Amino acid sequence: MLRRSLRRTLTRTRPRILCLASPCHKYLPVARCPRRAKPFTSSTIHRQHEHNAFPAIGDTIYALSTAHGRAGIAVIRISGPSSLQIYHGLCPDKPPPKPRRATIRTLTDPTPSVEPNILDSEALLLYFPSPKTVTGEDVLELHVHGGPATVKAVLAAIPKCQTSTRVRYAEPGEFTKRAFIHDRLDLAQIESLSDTLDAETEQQRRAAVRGNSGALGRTYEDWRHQLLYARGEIEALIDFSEDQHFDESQSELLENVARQVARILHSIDLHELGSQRSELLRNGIRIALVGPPNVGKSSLMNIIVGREASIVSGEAGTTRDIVEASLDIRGFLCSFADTAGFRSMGENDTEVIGAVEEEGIRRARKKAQESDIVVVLASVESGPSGPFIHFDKETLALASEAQSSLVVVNKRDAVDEDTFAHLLQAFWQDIREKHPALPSEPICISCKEDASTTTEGGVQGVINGLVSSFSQMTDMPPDMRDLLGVTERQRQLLVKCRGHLEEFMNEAQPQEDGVDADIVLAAEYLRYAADCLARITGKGEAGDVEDVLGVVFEKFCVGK
Amino acid sequence: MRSTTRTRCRHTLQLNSRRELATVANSRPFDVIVIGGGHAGAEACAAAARTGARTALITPKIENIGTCSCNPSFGGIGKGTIIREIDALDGLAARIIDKAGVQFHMLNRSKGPAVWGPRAQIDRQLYRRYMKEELEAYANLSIVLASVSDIVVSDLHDSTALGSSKSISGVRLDSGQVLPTNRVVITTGTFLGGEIHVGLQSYPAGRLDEAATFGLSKSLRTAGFRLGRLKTGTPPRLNRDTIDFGELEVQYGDSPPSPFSYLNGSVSVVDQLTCSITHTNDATHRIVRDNLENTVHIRETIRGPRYCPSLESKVIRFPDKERHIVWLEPEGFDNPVIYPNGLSMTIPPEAQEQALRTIRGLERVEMLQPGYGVEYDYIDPRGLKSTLETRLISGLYLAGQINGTTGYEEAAGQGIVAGINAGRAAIGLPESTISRSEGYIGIMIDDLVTKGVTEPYRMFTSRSEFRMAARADNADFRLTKKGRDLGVVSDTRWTTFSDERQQIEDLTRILSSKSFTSMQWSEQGFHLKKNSQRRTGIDMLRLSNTGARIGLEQLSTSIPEIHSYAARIRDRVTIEAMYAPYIKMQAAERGLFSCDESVRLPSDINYDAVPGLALSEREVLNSTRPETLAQARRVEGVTPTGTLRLLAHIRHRSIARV
Repeated sequence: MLRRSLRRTLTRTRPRILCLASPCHKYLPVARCPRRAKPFTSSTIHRQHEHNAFPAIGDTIYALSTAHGRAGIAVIRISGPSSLQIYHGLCPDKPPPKPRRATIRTLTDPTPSVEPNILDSEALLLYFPSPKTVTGEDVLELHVHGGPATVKAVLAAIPKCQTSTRVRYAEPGEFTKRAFIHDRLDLAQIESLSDTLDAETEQQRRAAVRGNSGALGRTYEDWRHQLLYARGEIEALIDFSEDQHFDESQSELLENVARQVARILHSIDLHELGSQRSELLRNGIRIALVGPPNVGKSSLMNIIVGREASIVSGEAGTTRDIVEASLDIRGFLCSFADTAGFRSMGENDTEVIGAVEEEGIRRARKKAQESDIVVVLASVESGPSGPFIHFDKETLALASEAQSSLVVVNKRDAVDEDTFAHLLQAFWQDIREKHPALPSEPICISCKEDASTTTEGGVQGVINGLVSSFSQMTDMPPDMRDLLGVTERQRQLLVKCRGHLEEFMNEAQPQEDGVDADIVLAAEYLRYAADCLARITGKGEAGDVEDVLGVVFEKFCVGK
Repeated sequence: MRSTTRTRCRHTLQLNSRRELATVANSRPFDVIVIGGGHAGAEACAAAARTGARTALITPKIENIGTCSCNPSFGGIGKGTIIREIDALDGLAARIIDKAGVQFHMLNRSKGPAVWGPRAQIDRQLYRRYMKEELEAYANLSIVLASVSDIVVSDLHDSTALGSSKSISGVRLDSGQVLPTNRVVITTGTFLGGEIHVGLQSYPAGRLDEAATFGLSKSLRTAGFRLGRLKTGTPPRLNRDTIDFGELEVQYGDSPPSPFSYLNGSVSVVDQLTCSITHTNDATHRIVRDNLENTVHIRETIRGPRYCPSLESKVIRFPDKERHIVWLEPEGFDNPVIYPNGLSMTIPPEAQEQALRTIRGLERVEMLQPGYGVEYDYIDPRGLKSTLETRLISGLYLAGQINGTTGYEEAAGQGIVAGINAGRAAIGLPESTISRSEGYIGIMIDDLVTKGVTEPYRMFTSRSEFRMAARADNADFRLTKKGRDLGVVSDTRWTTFSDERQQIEDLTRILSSKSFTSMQWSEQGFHLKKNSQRRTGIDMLRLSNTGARIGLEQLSTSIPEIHSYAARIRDRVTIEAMYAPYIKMQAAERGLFSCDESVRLPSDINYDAVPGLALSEREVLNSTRPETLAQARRVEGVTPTGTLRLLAHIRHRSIARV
């Protein structure tokens, strides 16, 4: 549906493409159609602004222009001199996009790898060369599929592109600001700016900082306070220790500051843990279904998904690639991946594994390693020496390494209950010894029974098992629930803040004996870290020097 | 239509004034008049004179020029950098200090060079004498001995376009005589409505035994300036011969002493004097505590500084501290007076003497003059532009303690900026300001005009976000070229500077062009991790920052050219190399908003008419009236969204007006 609508937009006339393909139109016109008459851009205005020239801006900025959350399409806007380089980074070996024409491209992760990591196989791109663009700079728009995982992956990939200017997430309102600086807004637009700004900055800020109950804002404020204290001590050391006798020695004070910073770092660690959890909630829990061929993986998936999502056939090794489905299981968003059957080489198996199948297995392995939950499927089969439980050792090993796992035995209907109980006990004893990390009990099902609507085949047990794993993984203390509001920009700033704090720790704890720590550098890192926090909370730039000095004068009796 | 008429009016006005300058010069003897000969006044009149403007310094007594009314020392951490910046602009203080200093000491030597603070104890009398001699001989400068009773202000008809409705037209002396001029710099320090407090007594005075100024306070208030009250204090003075220095810890000067001025290779003093250290104790604190009721200064609620607490506030705020440090500083070579730094107090004189005598070494001390507190008017500096010209009265500049600062260095730093601008404006040249990144003077002025003051403003290195880049060692690299372009740097200084810069560049080039592998460096005795990377001489200096501490001298076996450069050049190259990567990183961080510095906000902006600004933002912006968008952003309480709305508004105006 989504792709169809995208394709349809391509066949329309240009101005309408711009409107339709840009859900962000409520903020700013995405691109100015050069033919449309601009009411106030007479030549006199241009002359006027030449006198009032603003300096050039070097950075390239990007941001998600559509509202956060699940939508059909998400628009990511990039503005600045490196826009085209970002295009080439995401779409390697492709010809440059035609200006102002919609183009469909596969976006790949610019990180070098053997096999291209596809971010979005059918993204719609619009490229607007400067100066006649919304910001007056080169603008690239990526209209990607609105799944949170895709959006997040693309946002994370952009700064990884090889560019000649710095690429960073935009500050709130920065697109609008650039539009001003390059004189790209006319009078009417300026007059309606209030709404624009409300949408572009206030909303973001409110959503991001306040969270649901302000707890997130309090967390940041708390760090800022702790950092103020740490900075107060180190600044006192720099500005006053020569004339005043402090009760503590320089190294004692510095150790004290390092301890405070370590506490903040620890707190950020906890916070990041929380973010990971909330990310699971927002972007979905990744589940990989693995097992030997023909144990019924696709059948199980189909029952769970409740629709025909993957090909089902009796011949071993049908699902050579990965089939994924997103679904909502009792309120948890998850993405379910059905993989190719595992066949480990060198076993009694005499069949040769073809190159295509081998590739399928390789991908399945990778998928399992990236997943949050690995579901291993085994099944009851009958062989020359009677019935046995057919399983693949490697899949069990993968499961025991995963964050969470389930072991499911299918086709319990193939033998009578006693035989099954017998087989299961022998199987499980062996497995538990080798992989103590696996869950305490396997879940036994029959996809066949479940598929015939009359009988309960036990698949419900799998779903229950999954849900209990979900709750464990996403459970967090009530005071951390606000972390759901963490945005990409905040994440980047927090990563930076953390980086500066770590640099401080390196600087404050000299590795060699007899070498003093460079206090000035150490203090600078703390200042940078504090700046990052101030930008997260959207505090103005008045700076906090007075606050730092307040700490100094409160704690130390200084002054000659 | 209206606007065109207005423009034409202004045009004729300017024409008139220019013609007046050319032809009626004799009726207006001075282009610039500076009121007050303290540290701000001295730098202001000299700077104005250097621009080529005919300048007068008005002071009541010739001996008052260059008076150090508090401690007998200059510089320190942050403050020392300001003195170096003044010197880079060819100001006076550094050269006079080098002549009048009795002890030189580099503070923070054990920390990074970014926070080194040159400081000198000076001989009070010598400082005054050399400053007087310097100014008496200064080209373009006249010293007028008189008291100013008031300023003369005239109304401008054309009020809205210029932003201010009044302009300065002269100063009135006590004699009633009016000296006409278009540029006046007021540097009256604590004399504006000054009141001295000792014990329960209080009487009007600027300094002990010197009359305060009241007429000026009144007319500034009438003109619409917001005045506030601040207070400060000074310790008692002691008779050197009654102090027992025997057991006290001694602080010596550096050997060799580093001069303040870039022009000097050495300082005058040969045998440096020493300072001594002693401490207060329980008995001292008890006497102070018992007398807290006996001082008006402490009882009143006027804000004093948080950082230089009087002994009374030390005792009140830090009751658990058993002792406080006291520095005994000589006031000069042949001067029997000792300045006990750290003992500022305002309790009654008898109690002061009693308290002094509880201190080790001071058991028999004779108190020559009691400590006292001063309470004075300051003008809210948010009414100033970055040039230090007032927004209310064009042509009027304020510099120094009158703007709510404290310290000789802070005063002098403002003086030079006000002087340069008054001088240049008087001869029809465009104004000029020092940015935050250019130096501590820029930080100070920007802080003052955007944030105002709540306590006397003093410079600390923590105030500067450019601490690693703007250091005491490189003030000339930051400002001398600018000063030369502004016409205030003499040929002598320019030649000295250019030569030094050349040498630094040459040595840097030599060091970067020589590179060796880690093996080769190891053969020369440097222990490096083995790898294939080649390292230049500069790279080696940077390594020193992370641990090994490699000095330039050590490299001279591999790079013999180093020997041909003077120690000062070698030191400077080393410091620069050490900080360069960090400065680059810092610049990238700060670059984010640097373009806002050049977005000017019109002076007549009506903040109430800017749509969407929060009420609180309007209020602070109306009182601060920032000159650039970057300044607006730094005003306390202005949000990022607010600055954006502001930008939208000025854009709107500029489009709508066409």
